[in-house]
Amino acid sequence: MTQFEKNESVVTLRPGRRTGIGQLMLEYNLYIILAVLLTISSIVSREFFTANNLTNLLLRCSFNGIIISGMTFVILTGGTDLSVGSVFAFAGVFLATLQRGYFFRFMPELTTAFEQAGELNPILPLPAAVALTVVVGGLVGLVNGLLVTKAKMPPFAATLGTMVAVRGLAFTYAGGFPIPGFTEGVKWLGTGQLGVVPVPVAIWLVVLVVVWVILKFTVFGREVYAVGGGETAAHFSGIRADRVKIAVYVISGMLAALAGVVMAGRMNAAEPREGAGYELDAIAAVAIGGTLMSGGKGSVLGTAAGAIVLGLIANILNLTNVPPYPQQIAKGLIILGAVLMQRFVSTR
Amino acid sequence: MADSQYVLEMDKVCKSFPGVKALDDVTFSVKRGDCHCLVGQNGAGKSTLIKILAGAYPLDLGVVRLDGRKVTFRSPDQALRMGISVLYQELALNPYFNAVENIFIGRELSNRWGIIDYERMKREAADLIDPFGVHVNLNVPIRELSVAQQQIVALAKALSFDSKVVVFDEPSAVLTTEELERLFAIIMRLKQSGVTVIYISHRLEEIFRIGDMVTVLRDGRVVGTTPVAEVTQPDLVRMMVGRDVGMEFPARKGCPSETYLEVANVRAPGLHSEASLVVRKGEILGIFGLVGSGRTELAHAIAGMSRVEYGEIRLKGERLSIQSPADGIRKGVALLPENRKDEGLVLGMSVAENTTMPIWRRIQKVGLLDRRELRCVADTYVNKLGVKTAGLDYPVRNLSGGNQQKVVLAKWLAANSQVLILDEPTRGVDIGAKMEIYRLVVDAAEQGLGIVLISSELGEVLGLADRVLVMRAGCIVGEFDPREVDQETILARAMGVA
Amino acid sequence: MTHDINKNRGGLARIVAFVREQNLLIILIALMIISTIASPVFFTVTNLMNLARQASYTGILSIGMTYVALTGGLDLSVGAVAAFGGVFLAYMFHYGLYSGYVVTLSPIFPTPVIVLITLLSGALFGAFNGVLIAKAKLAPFIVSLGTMVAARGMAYSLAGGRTIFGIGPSLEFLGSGYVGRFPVPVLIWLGTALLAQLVLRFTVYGRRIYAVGGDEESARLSGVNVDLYKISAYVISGALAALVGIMMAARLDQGEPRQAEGWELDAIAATVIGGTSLSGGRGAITGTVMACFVLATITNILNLVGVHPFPQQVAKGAIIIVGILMQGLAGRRSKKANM
Repeated sequence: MTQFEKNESVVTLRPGRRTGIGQLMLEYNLYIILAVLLTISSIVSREFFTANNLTNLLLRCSFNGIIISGMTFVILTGGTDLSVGSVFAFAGVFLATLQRGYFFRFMPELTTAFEQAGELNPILPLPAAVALTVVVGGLVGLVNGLLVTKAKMPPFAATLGTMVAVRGLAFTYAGGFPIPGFTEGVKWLGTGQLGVVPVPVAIWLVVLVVVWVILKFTVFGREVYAVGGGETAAHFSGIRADRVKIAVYVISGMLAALAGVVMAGRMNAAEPREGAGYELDAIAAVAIGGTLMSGGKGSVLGTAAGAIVLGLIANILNLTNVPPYPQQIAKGLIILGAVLMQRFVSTR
Repeated sequence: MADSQYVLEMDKVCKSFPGVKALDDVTFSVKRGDCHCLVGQNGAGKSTLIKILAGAYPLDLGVVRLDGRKVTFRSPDQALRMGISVLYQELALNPYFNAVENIFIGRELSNRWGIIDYERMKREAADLIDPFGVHVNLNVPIRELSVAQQQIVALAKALSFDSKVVVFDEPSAVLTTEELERLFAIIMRLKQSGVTVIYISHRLEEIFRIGDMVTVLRDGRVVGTTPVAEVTQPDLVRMMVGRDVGMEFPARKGCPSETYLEVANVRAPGLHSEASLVVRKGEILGIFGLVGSGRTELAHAIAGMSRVEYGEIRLKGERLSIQSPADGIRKGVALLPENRKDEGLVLGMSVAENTTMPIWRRIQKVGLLDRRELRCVADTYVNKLGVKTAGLDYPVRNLSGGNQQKVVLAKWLAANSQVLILDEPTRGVDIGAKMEIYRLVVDAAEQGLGIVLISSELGEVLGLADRVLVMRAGCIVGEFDPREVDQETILARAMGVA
Repeated sequence: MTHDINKNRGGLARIVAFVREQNLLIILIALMIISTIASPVFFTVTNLMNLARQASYTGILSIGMTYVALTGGLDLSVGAVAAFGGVFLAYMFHYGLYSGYVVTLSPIFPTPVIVLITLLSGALFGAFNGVLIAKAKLAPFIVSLGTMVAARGMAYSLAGGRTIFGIGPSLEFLGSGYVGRFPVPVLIWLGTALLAQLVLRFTVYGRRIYAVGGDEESARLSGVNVDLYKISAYVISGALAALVGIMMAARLDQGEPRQAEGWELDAIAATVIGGTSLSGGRGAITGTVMACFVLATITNILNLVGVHPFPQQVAKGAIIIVGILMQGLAGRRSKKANM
């Protein structure tokens, strides 16, 4: 009885939904911001609405975009995945070693790492190599998932550990230096074009559509929302919450690895330093995209919009010749502004 | 007015929650130096009244006067400073702090540099705790103490405010007889020193021990206030229960047939002896017990929420191994949990999704959720159960308590459950919805489900069940035929009085 | 089962309990012994002092982090605020009243004032975090992430993307001085830690920090101004971050906007391994300090025996996970004992 009343008082804070234009604006605030930003951009810079600039913008968003498509799953269950940036880097390095004919390479003479990087000697056909890399990313996710569900570690702490470890693994694997040179196939993944669309953007779009379909139309997708919205209730309703949670970390790891592969192709080098801090960008984009950090509410399209908002702001500031560093200040404030607005929306 | 004989007056106080009118026009005065008892069934509004007194809830209408002056509490600490301290049922203690620290949170004794004076705090804490005559280790975190010891710490804390009014919210639920005697002695001493006590309890005999006045609440209204000396225990029960409660339960037609669920010698966390029970097809088995009697633990063990340590559960003679709720649901054993909002429903999801959650995996096609099927199933059950909702896509968060509970019921009927365990199905639900839920439960039984009805409302257990089990302290302590037993007998058994 | 477990503890049980509670100390001693055997250099004053100095910067950050974590929060901005502090300090040494920013040293204020302003700037970042978290009820993670990005940007902007070279000799002692054989940064770290621990243990303020994190509701019911204490923890964390910035700038004689990248995560790791729960209410500075020493000793000995830094990082990640797991298990065990 006491408990019940406690809960009721929470409900009084959230009266029925508002309807009409006000509600619509709150509901779709992100897309409105996006539209406003697009308008401003086209006014302040004539270059903005050129095909070249827009493709570039999307291209730059696509790596983060692929990562956060996976991160969305994790955050929807109420978790966090800090290891994505490291997995991103490790994937490139791992693929590079595969392309040189061995699965594992432990610390060649460091001083001559460049020379020792060796000739291209792919032992696996490209699709198999990429698939294997993505699976390895999934394995890191599996470790995260097991630590979170079975060892009951807070997601932040668990993935912080794997983040550091996998980054170290990337350095160890690469011998500390970038491994230059990939086969044409990998390069195509990063730099190719499908008509006017750069391949990374195409990959992002495919991932986006697949993730959207999964979240919206599959049983698994709905289970992700249910676990994030009320884990005990979901568990009591027969959803195997632990499995769902493990699965989301696996997905997050796989997509981070995929993004790493594409980036490696783009740079034509596997750089173990790559992707530091991407996890924070990813989380910021998800938060801006309207996904609740506590889980249960949000969408992958919002997340994509969040990534584009971040990219767009950087783009405008670039085009208007704002120096790079104040841009960062703006980025920080925008993250805060966006979550504040979210808060405002959710308490309405 | 200041020399009024009433230290505390509540005048025409009303308080509503969405879907429930918790307090309706409550007028209630407490004389200085009295021990004023409040009694009423679960859901009668006692806790709400206390929370208003404590400043935890704002009131909708009405006036509260303290010493004849109108007061409005905006926060609990304001009420505390005005001289009202409350000892809650759920103790508001910091689990990592020791007793001394807990007593002095917010009023730590210190020298002028802000350095804590542990010695003085410890002495004063000991002075507060010693009268209870119970050894409480002052140096370990409170969570390492027993519940009764924690209760005493909370009590010491409440007394340490030098309040004019001290409210006890069911303090006896977890105390042993000996501890209770000490509590009574303390209350007597408080009264002698001019402190007013408001005492809430289920146990009527306590009221006759220590009470001066008694007020009975029922369904948010004051039924009556009289001096304790002028009433008898049966009088109070009659006032609490109301006259025609027994008439309101839907009639049963069918009769239970073959055995459905058998629980044989089961031990599980929270159960202190082996539990055995049988539920037949079309039967409603009532389980009555006070909070903490192990009834929820038993339900959890049967439905797979907790691990069965040993013993057997059989459904229609087939031995079940239920490792998780998912297993239970697949076999047809479902639980409507005690805490609807955390355990029963995903509040942010829609009526349709909540109704079909357990059968998502059954109505999928190559991994895709069959939305048409989902809506069709949801629609069927929403109509069948008469859930009042603005639509199938409406979030259950915005439904009233009664309708939320119907969604949980709909969920288990849609999942084709064979045995349905209902843990406090009418908690926090208003009278109208209660009646509807009773009807639905009886309907379900008529249709051949086996039903276990757990409740701490004696009236509903007796009115609905075919057989009643009584639980106390983690054990099943008796079985009764509701047609041949009166409320007092069962209550006595549940409290271990007789 | 629900009774006082201290009463019926046998001798062995007591030892087990001691090991569980003091696991960090035992690990640290074991590590020291192993290290001494593995490398003759390890147990020399020079090496130990070096080890301590390397640990001191994240050590100080993790003190602030412990305060924040005790209230149930998190501060990702400390690394960036430290970088900002260093750059801001250097900037003030180069900012003349009439000349504006110049390459030569031309401070308007005397050094102590500059240091004070820098500390205040850090506190301001903390207050910003705290207000958004306590008053606007935003998630600490995302708020301090935003502040982190913004503060890093401000550090770069102020420095014009470069390093500000030279802050003059006035702070040399702070960065590279010695008192006896002890490096000044180590003394500052341990001094701050001692003070922070005493405050937590013995003052009203300290107990209320615990009260807020342990059970916010009971603190509120007892009349504690919960928001104020939460904000104050972030202010302390911010000010200590700025202090680290000042110390780094003093040591390197420059303001470097790239400084302290990722240190917030090190600080969090040390805090959690040190036994402070991220959900608040439990933990102590002593544990955090020991965790810093454990992490630094591991790095140090791996260096001494010639393990390359990259695999070291793998080890570090694994150690973080194991360390946190261990604290989690210890916590869960003792919780189980009283359910």
